[in-house]
Amino acid sequence: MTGTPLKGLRRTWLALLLVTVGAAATACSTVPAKLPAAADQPWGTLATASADPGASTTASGEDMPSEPRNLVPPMDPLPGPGSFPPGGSLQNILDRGYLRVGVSRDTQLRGAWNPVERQYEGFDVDIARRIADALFGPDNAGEADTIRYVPVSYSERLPAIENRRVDIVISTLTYTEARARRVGLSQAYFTAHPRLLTRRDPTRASTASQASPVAAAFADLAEKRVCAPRATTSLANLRQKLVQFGGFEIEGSLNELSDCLVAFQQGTVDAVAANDASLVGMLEQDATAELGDAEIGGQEYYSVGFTRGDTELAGFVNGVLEGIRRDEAVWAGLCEAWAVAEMPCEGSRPPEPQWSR
Amino acid sequence: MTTREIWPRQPSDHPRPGTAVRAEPGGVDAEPTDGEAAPRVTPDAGHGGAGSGRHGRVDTGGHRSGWFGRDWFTTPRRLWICAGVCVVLCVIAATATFSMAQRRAHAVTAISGAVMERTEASWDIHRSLARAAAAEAETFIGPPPEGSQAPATPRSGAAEGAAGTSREGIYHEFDQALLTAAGAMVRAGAGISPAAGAQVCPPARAQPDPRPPVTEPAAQAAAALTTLVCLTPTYQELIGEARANNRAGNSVGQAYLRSANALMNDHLLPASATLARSHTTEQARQFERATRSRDIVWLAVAAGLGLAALIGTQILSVLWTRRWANPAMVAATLLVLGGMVWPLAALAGERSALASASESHQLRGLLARANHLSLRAEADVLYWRIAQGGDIAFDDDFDRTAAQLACAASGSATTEVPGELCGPATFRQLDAGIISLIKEAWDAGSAAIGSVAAEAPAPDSSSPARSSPGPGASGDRSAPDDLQAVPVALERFAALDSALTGADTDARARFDAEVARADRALWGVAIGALLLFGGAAALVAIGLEPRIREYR
Repeated sequence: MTGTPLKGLRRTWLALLLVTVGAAATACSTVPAKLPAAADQPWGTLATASADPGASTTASGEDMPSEPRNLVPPMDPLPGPGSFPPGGSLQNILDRGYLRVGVSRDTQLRGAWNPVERQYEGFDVDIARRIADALFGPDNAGEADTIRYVPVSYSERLPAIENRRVDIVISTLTYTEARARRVGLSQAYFTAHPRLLTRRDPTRASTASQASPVAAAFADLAEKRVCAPRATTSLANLRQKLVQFGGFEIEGSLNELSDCLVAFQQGTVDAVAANDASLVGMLEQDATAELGDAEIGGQEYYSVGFTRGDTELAGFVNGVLEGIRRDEAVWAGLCEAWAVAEMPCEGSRPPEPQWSR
Repeated sequence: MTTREIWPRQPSDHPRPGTAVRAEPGGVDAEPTDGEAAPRVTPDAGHGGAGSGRHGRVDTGGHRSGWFGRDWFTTPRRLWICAGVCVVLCVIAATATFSMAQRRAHAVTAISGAVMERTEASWDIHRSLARAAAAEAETFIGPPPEGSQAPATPRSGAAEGAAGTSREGIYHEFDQALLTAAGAMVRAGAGISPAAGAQVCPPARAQPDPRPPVTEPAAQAAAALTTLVCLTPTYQELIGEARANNRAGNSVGQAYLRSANALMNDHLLPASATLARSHTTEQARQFERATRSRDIVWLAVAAGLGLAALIGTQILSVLWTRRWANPAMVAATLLVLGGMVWPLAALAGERSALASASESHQLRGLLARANHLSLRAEADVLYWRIAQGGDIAFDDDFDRTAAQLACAASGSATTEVPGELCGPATFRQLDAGIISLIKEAWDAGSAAIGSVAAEAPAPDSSSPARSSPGPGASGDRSAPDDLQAVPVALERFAALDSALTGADTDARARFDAEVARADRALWGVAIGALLLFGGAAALVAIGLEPRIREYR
């Protein structure tokens, strides 16, 4: 055997070896199919605003309702659009062309978006309209575009004022000392009474043995869940009652009163605690509910909220409200437009204002 | 030098007396004797012939014989051993190649079949639910009644937002989306064992989940599917309540809508995302199964050993039997070589095709995420117009979602690093046309939500991953002045949705073609390997049997 065929054989083997190794190397790596990080991020939960800081930092005892006092005296007579002080808050609003009003989006009969009529409506909305009409003058009275409604939940009412998102808030805002330290509050324009909304139950046994109607009302709620929207005086009130009577559980994490109504209708809560002014709106929407007779707390007074220290706007708002309060017919007309049998207007008149000296 | 000089014959190496040694003149099997006659067999008590060394003992010369002694390794025994080793290695190579090719073929089938079906189904669930949420939000922005007052900003945009779209049409779209989601749930759940997850429905509201937390992927998928199956009817029920109350003029309708939206965002969409992630992980596992690198090593080792054994046997056979070549053994060697090279070439082709398919799969995953984010952003715009702010900050969510969408389009994930929006790119960016549509949709959505967006820098078309964090926080916005903003935003998002769907269809077609190529590359490899290695084993037996027989 000569060397040449051996060399040829070696070359052939070498070539085959190279081909084999090449093929193996090409095929010898696992294909990564894991999704890239850009496509594989976890689904984020919906971004939510932080809770009202005041709700968590203020002790419930401090945030209890009281009668408005040390109020900025009303402007009398009310200035017209041409006579506002230049550079003041009233002139700024006038220059802007519309008043930004924080309202509840779903407290029916007070302030709520009517999905059929496609408009905000209610007693609070009418008060806002009165203020806007006074601000923009008789020539613009009733003009729709002089108001921009900004729906705010209960916990958002004070932050909306503090953040200058709105000029005023008219949204069943109860006067409390704690709130008055954070924002400016007007004289009262409505008096409300805390009560309970429960399921209508004709077979319910009487609780006459209880010492008081309130005790009887809470005795009926033993082992049950009661809802009150967060950052409300109703929640603070309910917490006091829990200490006093015990036996029930509080659902206080929901933002809106209507969220409480949803929970009520779905059976996750058994009662809703709020002011009668708000609860009657819920009665309108749920025929299976009834309003408890017992008042579960002291009277509450609704004020208009605005920036603390803005005495010009405070005086103007108080001037409008005082005009309404003094004019029996006007106040009654406004109230009767949204009154229901369960909450007649007689008990809702605002108290005499206590102006600051 | 002759083979005799290399390795002198042992007495037992002689063919049995009377055994004919074929001497084919000129043939490759001719014995190269150099004129030397085969030694005569001398029966010797101390040196037994083939098969005589059963009892190990030492002869007078001190040589060990018997069990595994020098005399035990007679040529026929050596040939038997070589033949056995060659046959066994061929059988091992045949079995290994067959099973590996079969497993890969099954994995490739799964990639394009059942697993892909489940992965797509989980994407469909996510997409359909997001589409349902967006459609439902749109139904709550309806046209205003004739002659009504117009104090509220939702109404202005809403009136225009629903222009040209009937409420019934949107209801139908909503129903269709939920129907698609339900069908996809059935498909996505096809591979999930009911026993893998706790069969307890989670609470619809924000309450602690009574189910124990699970970490195992299959259990997570089962739990996610349970969540979807349990809570989708609850979502529909909430929407039904919302519609009924809305039609009755009850403001609680919006609360139902908010509850439905919270259920969608906090439970249903995360569950569908978990399910999608589980299935995409399974898909990735199938890709790895179909292209596992150690298969190649095993194949190379098994076939290489077989090849080495065959070559070694032939060399030794030449030395022991003084015959140059054995045609059957040469053929067996060639078959083993073919059985080695063909699968390797097939696997290289399959790997190349699957690498392309994998890229298409990853692109589809990215497109699916972009589609989900775009639908979420669209729903954020609509919900914001319904709620006009509120504790559920749809505008904040829109800003975040739009930023995530822009990052995804550029192949990046969002980052938590202050001052930076997107992290480093982990994939190539989407088509320029889609990026442009994303920019337009982002702008239109911002304009529809409020005027703050106008104060923030618009997304730069040349750099979708802009570094500014987007418009400000919730509550800083004012109502938009442009009443056409909502319909424009809806139009832009619809165009984006259409473009993303089109891109996904193209990617799907490419994916299918590449997987089909991978499937073709593996065609016949399993059977072929069996035939080649099996044939080689048979040829070894055929080639060595006459040699061994010569010594009987």
